[in-house]
Amino acid sequence: MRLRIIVASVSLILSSAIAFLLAPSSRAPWVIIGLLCFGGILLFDIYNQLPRRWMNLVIFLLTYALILCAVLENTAEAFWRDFAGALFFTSLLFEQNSKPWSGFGPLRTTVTPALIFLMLILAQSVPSLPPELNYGFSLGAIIIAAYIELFCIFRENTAFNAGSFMSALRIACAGLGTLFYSSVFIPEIARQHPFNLMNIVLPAIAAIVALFSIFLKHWRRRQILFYCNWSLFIFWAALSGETFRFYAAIGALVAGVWTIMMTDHESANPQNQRELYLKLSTWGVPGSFLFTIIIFALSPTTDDLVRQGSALWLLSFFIYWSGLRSFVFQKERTTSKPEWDWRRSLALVVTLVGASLLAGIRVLPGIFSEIWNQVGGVR
Amino acid sequence: MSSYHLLLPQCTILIGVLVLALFEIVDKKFHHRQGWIVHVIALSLAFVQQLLLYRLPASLFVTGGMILDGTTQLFSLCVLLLSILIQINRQTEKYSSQSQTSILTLGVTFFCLFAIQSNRVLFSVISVLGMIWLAHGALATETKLKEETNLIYSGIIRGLIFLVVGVLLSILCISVFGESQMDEIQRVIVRGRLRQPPVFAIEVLILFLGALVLGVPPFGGILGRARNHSSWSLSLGLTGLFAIVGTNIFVRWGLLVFTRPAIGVLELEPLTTWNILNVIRVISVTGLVLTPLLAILNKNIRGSFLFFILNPFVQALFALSFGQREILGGAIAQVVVSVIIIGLLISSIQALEFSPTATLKEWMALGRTDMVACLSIILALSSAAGLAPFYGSFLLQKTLSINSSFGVVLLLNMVLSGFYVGRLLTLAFHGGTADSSQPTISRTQKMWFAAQFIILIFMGIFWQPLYKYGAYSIRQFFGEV
Amino acid sequence: MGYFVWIRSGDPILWGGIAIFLAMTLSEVFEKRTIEPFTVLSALFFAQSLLAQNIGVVIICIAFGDMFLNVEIFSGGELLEKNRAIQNICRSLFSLLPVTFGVLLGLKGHYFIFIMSVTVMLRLFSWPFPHWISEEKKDSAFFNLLVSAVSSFALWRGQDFSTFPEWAIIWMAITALLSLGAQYTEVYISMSLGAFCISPTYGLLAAAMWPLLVCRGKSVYLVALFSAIAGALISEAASKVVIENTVYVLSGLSALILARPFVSLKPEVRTWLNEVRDLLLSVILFGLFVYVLPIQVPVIGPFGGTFVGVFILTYIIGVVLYSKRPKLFEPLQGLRGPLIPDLTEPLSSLNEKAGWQINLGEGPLSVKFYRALESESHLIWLLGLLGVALYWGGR
Repeated sequence: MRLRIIVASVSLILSSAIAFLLAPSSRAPWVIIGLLCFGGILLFDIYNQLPRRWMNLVIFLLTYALILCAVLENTAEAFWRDFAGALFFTSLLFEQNSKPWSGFGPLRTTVTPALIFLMLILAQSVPSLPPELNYGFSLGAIIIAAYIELFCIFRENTAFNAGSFMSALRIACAGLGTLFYSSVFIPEIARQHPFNLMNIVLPAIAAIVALFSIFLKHWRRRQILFYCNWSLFIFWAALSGETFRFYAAIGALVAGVWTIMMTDHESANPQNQRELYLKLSTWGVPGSFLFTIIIFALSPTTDDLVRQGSALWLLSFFIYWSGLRSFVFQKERTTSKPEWDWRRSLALVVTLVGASLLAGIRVLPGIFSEIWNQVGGVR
Repeated sequence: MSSYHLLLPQCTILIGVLVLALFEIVDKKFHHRQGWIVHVIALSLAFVQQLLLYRLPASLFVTGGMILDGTTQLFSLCVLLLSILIQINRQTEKYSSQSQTSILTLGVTFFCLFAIQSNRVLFSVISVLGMIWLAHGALATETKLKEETNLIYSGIIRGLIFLVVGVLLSILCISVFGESQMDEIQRVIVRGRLRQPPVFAIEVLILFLGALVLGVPPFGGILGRARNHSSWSLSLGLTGLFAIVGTNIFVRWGLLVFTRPAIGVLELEPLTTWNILNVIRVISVTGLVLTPLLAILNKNIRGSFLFFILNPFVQALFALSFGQREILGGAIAQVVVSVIIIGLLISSIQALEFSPTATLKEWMALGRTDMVACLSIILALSSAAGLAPFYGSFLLQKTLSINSSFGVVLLLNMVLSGFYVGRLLTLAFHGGTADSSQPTISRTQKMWFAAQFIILIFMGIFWQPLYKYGAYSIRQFFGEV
Repeated sequence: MGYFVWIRSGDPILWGGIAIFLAMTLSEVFEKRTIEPFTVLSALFFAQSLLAQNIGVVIICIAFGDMFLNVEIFSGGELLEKNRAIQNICRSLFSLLPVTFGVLLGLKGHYFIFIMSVTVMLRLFSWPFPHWISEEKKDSAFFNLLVSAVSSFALWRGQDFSTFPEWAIIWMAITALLSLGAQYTEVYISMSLGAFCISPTYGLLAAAMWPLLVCRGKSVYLVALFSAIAGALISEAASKVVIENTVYVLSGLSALILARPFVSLKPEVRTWLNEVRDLLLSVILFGLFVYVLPIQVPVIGPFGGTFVGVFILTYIIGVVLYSKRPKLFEPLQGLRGPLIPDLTEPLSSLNEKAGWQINLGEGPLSVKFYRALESESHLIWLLGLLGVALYWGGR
């Protein structure tokens, strides 16, 4: 196990270093963001899911390599191809690490949305398509990427995917891809009518999914949908076109990936308040890293559509928080839990620091912008 | 330098055959290990020789009916590489202990090289005939005794059918063009003043033979049921060899004879009134739909794999049918990728030891016990389907960017191929007991899978060198740009 | 905090609110002698909400204050209380939802005041929706006041009601309606906010009595008197924006209903020293405000007089009737159950269940079909097709 972790860490750092050296200055910050996300998955893997098998690590590193390639590509077609490859490998990991299930495969698997994603991006290659349709395909692909896990939500035992490294990987891939696309390749029509209505449509989709989640009894499955919505939230924030909201989207990406990995898989233990804090933090309640990001991303704006979209996002988040209304601690039973180790302590510190970032709500965007420019300048 | 050095690889292979035959005669008892080593050495030597024959810039050698330009070189290397991969994977094959199989398989490679490098129609027909009979013989040696006679009979009939059509083609070529040499035929066509019906007949026959050898559904049948009870390496490998030869027929006999680069534009134009490009497109479109569809409907593992490994070849054929220089290079490079795909597929499926009648029932939940082999198969098939990030997806993107309504069929092919791969992937981890992994393959085998997979994925991610190599191979035809 | 207050010393709304908050805290500390650490944290955040200029920051501070209060409840309680502490997070966030919507949508004017009123109602009143804090810590009113009074004041004080004078009477009418099930403390706090609508000075003066609500000794009867005065002021102010007859009717009805909760007022039994202490705190506050703030002496006219008269009359009759018919003056029961129903029986189609079974074997037709494809006769057929193609081409 230790050997695998070392190999994975070294490979991750090596790939990042190579990518950073080869990247032009405008792309260097993206490599750093990728390292933060994927490195965070490895670092906060409390249950050692990744190093359990070599195949997990191999596919994980391949996915990272593809994402790095994607953010270094010069053309949109090549970018989408690498992005599709990363999503395909992510879906492969979902299947590989799934618990036993039954039934007709293609309707209940993450492979199907990965293939639909590929179809949508291939369809963009057809030259006679108008740009609106092209962009529509891109939007469809991004929404599919965000809701990959929705396809298998009713499968037996998929609830245990909540808090898994596959979910974190999915957010990392989808988030990085959508952020990069929004920053580099997004066409001008995205900010014009009727596509500017996406500022409302995307949160509306999230609100509908959130309403749907009320009917799901198991909290883990609701959590899966919460993080699907979080991916869409990242895209929405990047799509708004405002710089500080874009930085908030980057923060949301990193926060989302790290928070998933910090999730405790077991039922909440009322005696261990640290575990409970981490568990509640995964829902973005006040006092968590995610809550800070929500505040940043929903900052006031002069754009009416973004305002309305913000209100819809708040509604969707609240619907998830309403899951706490019937929260019940069970009588304590002996369960075999991993001990509280340095990773969990680090997770706790990170969550607390993330929560306290709210105090810097005015100065953080400026600091982040400066860091972004400096990283590009270093390269 | 004499042009007979073109025959060096073939001579090496022939020597290999002779040595194997000598072993059998002298030792009376065939040593599997020795025979395997000789076989691999012969193929490796031939591969190196073939590689060294490629001179920069590419020169055309036309002597005594042989040719060696970029495409021929590339296809020859593919054949030799695939043969090596087949033989490497046969090391652990239970059936590979028969001496006849080894000799016959080497003979198939021998004739395969002739079929690709021959510049005359009749020589190629004879070579392919040799391939058919030897392949059937090799496949028959790996089946039960009572099946052998039927398979030999089947092989003879199939060979004869091919021979009849091939001889008819040769006769027509000589009577219409006065020649059976490809480049000479093209010069006659360019001069014009030919009666169209015979030329049309020649084109139809060429396309028919090409489709038959390639095995594009519904034109499959050259190898037929002979593959059902033999080893995986031979059944899949020989299918791949025939597919390469079939692609060569389409390119060498079809495109490079009946079309030429249009002036001022980087694409091909037909030389006859009957546009051969359109017909190739129709054939490939039929294959694009039927190949994955038949693979999906066939619940037998072997049967479905035998259909599906033709998918990258059919996609390449579809890309070739547009005759655009930018796509041609990519399509030809796809053949190289297909070789690696078949190699990975053979090595990984052998590790699972499926019976010939294995269906999807046996496949179910296999990933939980033999994850590495299972995933290797799935990734190989994903590459064959043209999924991202493998090379096929790049070719699909390039092909779709051509303004043609046939792009819809390509998307349909993607849907069907994706469904096929998705079904296998999900069934592989379906049901079963979680984490009941009982590794049955050795570390060496895993490293071998990993090496092939890494090559495959690198070809997909860093497609530029491969694409350039494919484009360079047709440079001689298009001229300097 | 002192530094910020000193900087903004020209802003009486700011330091006035802090002064009231400090007085309430002192009252609690003197009474209990101890204070829990998370309560301190919570109080700090509520205090920060009083100092914040931006409504968004106010909301965030209130959310954090609620969170730390729930942490306090969680850390000290049994399993049942721990469960409730977690559920309270949802309920407290629900109360902040309306005003947050208003901020995000950029509402202004009447719309924003309306939506903020909804939040204040949810945070202040325990009827018709049971207030989450009223179920906790029944022996400590300080918690209740932090959540209800302080947070409501923090939200309310940021609005400029001078351009919306009608909100005073509207708010009084709402208070009257909600007082049917509310406690007298809630009614008084609400009337203070109503007084704020007329003038921030009046609001501060009314809020100066809030320290009496912490320990609720005999001095709490003063609260009833100040309620009546507040009502009278509101009625007088309403006469400038609403037609006279309507004001009379509204004043009379409101006074009738508002007096009800005070009838069932039961002060805590405390020593006279504690009573004097609380009274002193309120008097000091009151005096400070009178001294510092410019006050126009209000004139109570017929409208105000109507209110006060009906209020006092109702109170006296109520006190007499209370011993015989106590139920007439008890608060009404609120809605039971969660605001969002818990779906205990999800739709069966949304259950996790086994999927359709799939046939993985070969069917007889399939076997025949593929055998046909592999047979020699298939090649013969292809030859036939070739012949047809050649014939067609030859023609």
